Amino acid sequence: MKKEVKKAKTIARSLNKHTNPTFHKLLKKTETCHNQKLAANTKTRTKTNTIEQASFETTKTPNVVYSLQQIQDKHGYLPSEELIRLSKVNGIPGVNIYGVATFYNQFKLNKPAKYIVSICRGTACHVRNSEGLLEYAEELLNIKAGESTPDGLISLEIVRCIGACAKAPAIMINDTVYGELDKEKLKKLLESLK
Amino acid sequence: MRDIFHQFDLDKARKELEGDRVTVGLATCGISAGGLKVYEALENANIGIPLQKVGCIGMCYNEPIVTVKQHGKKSIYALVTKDNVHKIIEAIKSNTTCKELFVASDIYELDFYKKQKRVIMENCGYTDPLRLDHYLAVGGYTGLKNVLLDMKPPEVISEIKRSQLRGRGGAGFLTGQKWEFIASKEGKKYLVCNGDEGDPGAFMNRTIMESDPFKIIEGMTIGAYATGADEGFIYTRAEYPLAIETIERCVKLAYHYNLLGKNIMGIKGFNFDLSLREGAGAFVCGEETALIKSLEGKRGSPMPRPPFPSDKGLLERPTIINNVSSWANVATILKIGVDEYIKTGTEKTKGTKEICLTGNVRRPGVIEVPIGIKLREIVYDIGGGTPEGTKFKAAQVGGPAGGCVPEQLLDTALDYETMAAIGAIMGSGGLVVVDDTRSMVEVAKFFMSFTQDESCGKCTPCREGTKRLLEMLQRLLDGHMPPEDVPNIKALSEFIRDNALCGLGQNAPNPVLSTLRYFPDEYDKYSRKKCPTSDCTAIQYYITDKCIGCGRCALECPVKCIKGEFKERHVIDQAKCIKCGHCFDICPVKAIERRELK
Repeated sequence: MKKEVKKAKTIARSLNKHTNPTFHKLLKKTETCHNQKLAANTKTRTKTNTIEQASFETTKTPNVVYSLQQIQDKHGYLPSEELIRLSKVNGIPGVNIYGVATFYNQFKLNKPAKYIVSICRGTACHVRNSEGLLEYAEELLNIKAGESTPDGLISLEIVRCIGACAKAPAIMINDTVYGELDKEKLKKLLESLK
Repeated sequence: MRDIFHQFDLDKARKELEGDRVTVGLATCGISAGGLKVYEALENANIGIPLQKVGCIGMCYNEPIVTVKQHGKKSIYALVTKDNVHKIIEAIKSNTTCKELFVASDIYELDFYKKQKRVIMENCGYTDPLRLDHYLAVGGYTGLKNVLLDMKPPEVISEIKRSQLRGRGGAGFLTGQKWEFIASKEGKKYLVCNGDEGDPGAFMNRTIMESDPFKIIEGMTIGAYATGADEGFIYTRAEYPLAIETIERCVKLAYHYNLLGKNIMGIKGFNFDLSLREGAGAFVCGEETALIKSLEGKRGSPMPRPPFPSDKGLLERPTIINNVSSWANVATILKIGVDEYIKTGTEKTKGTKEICLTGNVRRPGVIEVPIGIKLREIVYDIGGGTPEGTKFKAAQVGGPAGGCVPEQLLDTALDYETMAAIGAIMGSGGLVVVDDTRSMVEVAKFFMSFTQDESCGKCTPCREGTKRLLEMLQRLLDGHMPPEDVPNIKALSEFIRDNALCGLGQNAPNPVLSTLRYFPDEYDKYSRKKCPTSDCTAIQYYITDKCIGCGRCALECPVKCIKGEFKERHVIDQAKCIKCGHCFDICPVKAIERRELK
């Protein structure tokens, strides 16, 4: 966790202070392809996303949430270079982008593992002992929630509710929901990923 | 008006729905229970009857569900898996019923459905959600057709007002009144469908989005006609991938058949653009002002009201935000007529409400009940009570901001006012049953940790207050809080309730306040370092070698978890111990030690 925070702070700092030498290095490296990407992005935006266009017209800045979602769709997380580009190209202060990126649970600042195991900690799952399930998963994978296994295969996350309450306790592996789990079933599931 | 209905072969669609067919419920619940594999097996088996994917019928405890209608005879099979689906295939081929998996020939034969009234969710689990012709065949879009044929926009609003429809998102504001506010405004207006169902323990919006998406689209189109808005958004959670995909495909279909877009159904000047927005995972974004901020691409912090969104909402323009279920209600009201609609419900609130029944209950699922039904009927008649060996302790109504209703208040009718009177809220409609194995303080702490985590940090009472409240509860659970400090919990809770900026903060202490109100003894016990249930792991009792083996503790232990020979040291079976502390109190030689684990 500490590492993550440290890295995020560095990003935020570099976003704010454009004097940061690493920032310029990163920018140079990616600038050419960025401009092309941006063109592509604007195109899709005008085509289907009228609110983004409207807000662009009134505030002269693109919709940050939407832009971040696009970046995350492409990379699976938010690489710092992309955030810096977004800030630089559109003139949005880096702190605003960082503020949005850390506000929403969906955005990840670190590269996620191949399989994201999200353990539901909603009410229905809670009363059916998802806490025990989480502890067991932590024990099995030997990592804490919010961390990834050293081989980058599995990352363990807590999700608030995946809406599979009637099948509690439930977990989600990438986009697939598995319900009515107990320790044994969880063990089998996790082993099948390896 | 141009009739779009003739483009479809509705007779064929009707025949498909009413004739012989095999259906598999494939909403998120069905899929997580292995429904897709069942579907594949049926597809490959060459059964000779049309096979269809349908939405969720609500009977989650029985998923995956396969319904077979053969030669006019219907049978519903439950808990079908890829290992036993061959029995159904054999039964179909030999034209018999598979007795092993058979549950009923009609859903209303089941106790689960007897007290339900399915109006909004009538198509869920019956039609293929992605097929517009199915939706039209069961009377879809007749509401919009009625409106466009012979009603002016103000008439539509007065009809909605007459129906007394109240916002189904929880606050219960009159929908018709909301519409009237913005109908009089000039210029660009927006409609938003709030599908950011972040409440843990609630998934009725997801069910409608996945199983009957056209109903929402139709409701919003009617709203657009009535208020003059020409752009709308469906805002939903990124955690609902299937709902997102379903809505996106249905919106595309609706555009294709001119049910959205320019000059809808040939009415000149009636334009409505609808698109879907994915949330990025923040509970507070279900609050309307926060949702607007999120749609604009900013941090989803709530704003003080006024100005209300109906004056200055999205991009400073008048905006209506209604819950998924409210929009579905609109379509239903104009389809069946206001007079029919207001027959159900109580004096102040009409219609039905979808409830998600979960937790320690035998039959969890999504249900739809007439407003005014007693909670006891929901928990016992529909849900079947708690699992064997446990006793009902409380029903947590209304999500993390709701309250806990104890056994003695179960005869309360489900309505906005009555729920508020007993310290709960109607909320989005989650009902989580808690049995006697769970401690209520621990449940309150769970909700507190949720709201504390999801607090956006804008206002101090919520940001700081929830954090301190959570710490207090943790201290109490750990046995470090003396009895004289317990009133502080109440004082802080009340302060947060009265001073927070938005609904999230104001309702955040509800679980604590309602458990304090109905289960004060549990708070008291914790403060005296006793655990009311075995749920708590903070304290353990051990018998030290001071034990003289008198056997008094073994005799008086309420769960008989102390064993040992006479005049020898006794041992407590920790798995069975309920930590009542009785042995600790009665031991004549003080040989029992209380150990605090944290």
